[in-house]
Parts: sequence; structure tokens; C-alpha cells
Amino acid sequence: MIKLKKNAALVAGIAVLAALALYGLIVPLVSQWDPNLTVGMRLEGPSAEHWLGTDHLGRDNFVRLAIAARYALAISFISSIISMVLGTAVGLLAGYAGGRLDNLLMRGTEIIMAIPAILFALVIRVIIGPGFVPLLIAMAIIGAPGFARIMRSPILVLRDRDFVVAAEIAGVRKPWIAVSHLLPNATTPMLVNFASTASLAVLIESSLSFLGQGVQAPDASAGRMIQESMRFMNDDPLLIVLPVILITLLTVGWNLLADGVQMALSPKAGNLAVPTRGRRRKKLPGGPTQATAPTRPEDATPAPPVHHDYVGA
Amino acid sequence: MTLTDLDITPRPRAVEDPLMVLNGVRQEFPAAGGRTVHALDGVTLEVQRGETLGIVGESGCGKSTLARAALLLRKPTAGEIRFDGKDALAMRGGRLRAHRRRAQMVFQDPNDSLDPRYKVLRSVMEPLLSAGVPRGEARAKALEALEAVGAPDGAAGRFPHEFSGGQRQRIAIARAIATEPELVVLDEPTSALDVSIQAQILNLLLELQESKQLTYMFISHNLAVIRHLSHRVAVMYLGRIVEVGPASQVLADPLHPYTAALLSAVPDPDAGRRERIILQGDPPSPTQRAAGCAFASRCWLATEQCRTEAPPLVHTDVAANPTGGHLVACHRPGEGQEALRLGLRPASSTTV
Repeated sequence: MIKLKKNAALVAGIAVLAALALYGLIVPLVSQWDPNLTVGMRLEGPSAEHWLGTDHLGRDNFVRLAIAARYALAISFISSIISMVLGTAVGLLAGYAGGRLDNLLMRGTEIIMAIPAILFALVIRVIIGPGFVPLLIAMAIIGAPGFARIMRSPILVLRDRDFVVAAEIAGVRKPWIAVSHLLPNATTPMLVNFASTASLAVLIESSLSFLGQGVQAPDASAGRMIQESMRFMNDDPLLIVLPVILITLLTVGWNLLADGVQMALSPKAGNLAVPTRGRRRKKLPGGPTQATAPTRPEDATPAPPVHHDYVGA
Repeated sequence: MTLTDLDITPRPRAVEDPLMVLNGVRQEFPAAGGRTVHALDGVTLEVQRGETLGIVGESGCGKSTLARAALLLRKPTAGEIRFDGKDALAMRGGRLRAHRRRAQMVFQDPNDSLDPRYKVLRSVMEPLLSAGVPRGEARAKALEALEAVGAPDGAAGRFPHEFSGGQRQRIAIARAIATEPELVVLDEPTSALDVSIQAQILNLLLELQESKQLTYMFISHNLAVIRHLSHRVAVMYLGRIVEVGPASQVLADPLHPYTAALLSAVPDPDAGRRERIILQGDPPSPTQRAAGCAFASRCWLATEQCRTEAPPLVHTDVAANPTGGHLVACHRPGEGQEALRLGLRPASSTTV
């Protein structure tokens, strides 16, 4: 379906994220060191025993960094999934129902977007309490308005398309029209936004952890590691550099994935967001290309083959 | 085959037996600046069972709004719609869904009327399933409908993009007839197709009407096509019906000056030099309702009465046009065409 050879961004994005995921999943399992226990001297440099040295409490950096990667990936992935589900539902409802409900929902998303993300997460953390789940909930709510807005605009175009009117004439119930006709024709921008939301989620998670409001001690997280290591910055700069590299790799990985998906789904940049009306018949790279032979004389011009995983028709 | 070849004898009028009656239907939409668009401005119309009622008019005159009103997609602002003798606007929920199978539509652009992510069979089955037909039976009926429209073999399992425009329109027609409806609204079903395919689709529609006793509401701005297919013709201008009657009368002896102007614009390769009425200016904005006749601002026959008093849609007793169900909304019926016939050039006409 997607030509990987020509899509370096997609390949690179998947490779970076997959490598980090493997690192986060496997290293803590096979390593001889417990990530939360003192297993060496304080602030050791890299050695055969401790590949990336130890921190101020003598914990192994290589294993702790793996735990941090695991948390960051899990939180960014899961919270973006929840954001996508919430935002898609809101955008679909607002776009298809229109009128007052649309107005109400869209103003709601604007209110959430107007509040700085970190502040919003802190408030939710104060209300619900500390822990992994409240963190997920806070980040899911922060990400949802973006999905809602991106979902709504293609729905506004799609709802007036003839095939949607035809379904209404056929007497199809509106919720089913929304799910079976509107949603499948508006998915591609959501995938792109998923990856960019996840990238943002990595940053928000590390910021919250830096402030002591994200992942709780003794568990490792990039933000916490930076915060704990600030005091030893001059003695052992590696302690700061390592989590910073992790955050960079994670955000770059997600952003490359977003770019790759965008490229894979639209050869021409810019025609992804809104489904076009009328004929877009450019052959997309790598699509199924079996044209059907004309069987009736009057239909002697067969339609040019079109990739059927495209937004418009 | 060109479209002028379709210019055959108009079809005779069907027996009087109204399937659908629209009575004073108004459809208003809010527009920017607190104004109101009068898309339908009191439309009164009967669709007889088994006939083809052609609806003509220029872009923006409310043809498509009329189609959507007839299919009960939007509740009209005012007026009454009766389907098969029953008040159609009173239907809600389950009863309305049950009614849906009796009235279907074929759209102008077959590229847009089939969901690109639905396989053909699923699209054609959709109205059957939502009408409560069991899945197995719906499948059989859908395949039957696809065969009836001459869709290519194996079409059911493929996606719309694998077909040409003409084939797609056949599939769209299959979807419209799958539920065995009584009324089919055809909204410019051929104007997005190649000329060579248009005639094939029109003939298919005629065959289907014959074999399935369908009633057609045929919307078009192509007078040659209207003449080929319609028993009766209604002419719309700015949300109003200005003239309605048997196709043979309306298209041969128009009573309304607007109809006369429309007809004079049809190219006729045999006629050579002839009078053509060129209307001045654009139609007025539908946000401003004319106090009098909607056409008065562009009509070369308009008098003070036309500008202040709206002419009702009535039978006319002009001698040349015996009142065989031929209605016109004009204070000076027949004068436009008469002037042309006598070679008297209206102030705004030119010879081409």
C-alpha cells in the first residue's frame, strides 16, 4: 500500500520509534541492574559494568533511561489514542449536526486550547491526584481539541456530498451515516495529527515530570532525570545530556512518522486536509492499478485507475 | 447521435392520477446579514403517476431545492406535500424511513454520488437494508437491479473508481430503483456525462420507466433532453413555477415570456438566422422577493401591473392554447411568443 523506498521520513520515523520501544521493553528485562536500586558508586562514568554510568544515587543510567523511554512512549501513544477517539467523536458530531451543537462544541474546544497545556495538566493533576492514569487523562484532554477541529472541516465538506445525501434519501440513520460514510472518508488527516500530537505529548510529559507532577519517584522519566541531575551538571554533564537526547529522539521520531504518513497518503502536499469535490483522478503511487476492461460500447473510456485509499472521490 | 436528434415528437400526457402534490411549498434559508433566501417561493405542482415531469430553469432558480423538498430531505418553511394522498410532511421516524423506499433520486455527478469506500454491491444494498429488507433478499434485489441497468459483470464486488462515468451512473440508477420506488427524482442525470453516453442513459431511463412503471421528476436545463423524455414540463424562475403544462404545448407554444426566451436560446441547426431573445441582466437576488411578477425586472413586456401584482398560476383561455392543463403565471400570456412569430422584435432581442 505504501511505498517505503521513496518515503525516507516514514522509514526513519518507524525505525527510531521501534528502536526506542525495543530498548524500553527489553533492556529492563534482561539487565542485571534494578533501575530503582543503588547498584554502583555515585556519579560513575561509563564503564563495562555501567554502560552509561550511574546517577547521584548510584543507579544505572542505561536501565533508567530505558524505563524513561518506555514511559514516554506509552504515555504519548496511549494519550494520543484517547485524544483521537475523543476528538474524532466531537468533530464528527459538531460537523455533521451543525448549528448550535456545533457552535457549543467548537467554543468548548477553543476554551481548552486557550489554556496553556502545562497549566491545564497541573490543574487536572491537582483535581484527580497523582499517578499514571490522571496523567493520561490530562494529556488526552489537552490533545483532543486538535483532533476535533481537524475532523470537523472535512466533515463539513463531506456532509453535502451526493453520496451522503443519497444515504439520507435511502433512510439510513444519521449516526450510521456518520460512522459508515463520513468517518472513513476523513481518516487520513487524523493519522498525521496523531503522530504530531504524540510528539507534543512527549514534551508535555517531560515538562510535567520535570515539575514533579508527571511520572512519580522512584520511577525514571526523562523530565525527572533532568531535574534531579541539575545539581550535578558540572560534575557529570552526561546525566543531563542523556535524557535530553532521549526526548529529542522521541519527538523527532514522532514528527518523522507524521511527515512520512502525510507524504504516503498525499503525493501532492496540501490536498490532504479537505476531501476534494469532483474528479481527482491522478494516479497515486503504489495504488492498486487494475483497470477494468470496458464491457459496453458506450462506456469505452475506462476510468483511469485510482488508489482507493484517498480522501476525495 | 447528437442531442438535436432526440428532438422527436413530445410524449403524450399521462392519465390524471397524482402521485405527489406540492401545495404552496416555500423553502427559506437564512442568509448573511439577516436576509432570507427564498429558494422556493410558493411552489404548487402535481406529479401524475407514471408520467415524466420535466423541470426546467436556469441555475439557481430552485430546481434542486425543489428536488430535495420532494424527497422530504428538509422540512419546507410552509406549504403542503402529499404523497399518494397522504400528508407526507406529517411523517416522522420509522414511518418516514419506511416511506423513503418509495421515492429515490439519481444525482448529476456519478463521481460524487457513490461512496468511494463502498463496494458497488454495498452502495446498491444500502437503501434496501435501511428499508428493513433482510440481508439475503437485499443482496438478490441489488444484483437484480444491477443487471437491470446493464452494469458490467462482476461490478458488485468492485469499487466505484474502477468504472467510467457512464457505468457509474448506471450503478447510481441501480441504487435508485433497487427498492422498487414509485417516484424517482432525476437531478440532471446526464449533464455530467459525455454526449455519446447521455443518449444511452436516457434510453435506459425510458426503458426502466416502461418496465417498472416509474414516475419521474426530471430536472434539467437541457430543453432537448426535457422534450425527449417529458410528458409535462414545469418552468421555474426564481423559486416560482411560471408555466406548467403538456410538453407539446409548453415547448411549442409557450405562454410565458420567460419560457419563450428559454426556447429561443436552444440552438437549431435548421433554422438559420432567427430571432433570439437576449434577456438583459442577471436574475434578481433570491433574497429580495419581488412584489409582483418575479420576471418583471427582465421582461420586455412588463407593465406597471407586472411590477406590483404577482400573477397567479392559472389556466389561460388564449384561443391558440386550449386549456388542456396548461397553466401560466403571467399578466400578458402568449404575447412574447406571438411577437416573435409575427417578427416583431422585442426591445431586447437580437438576430443571430
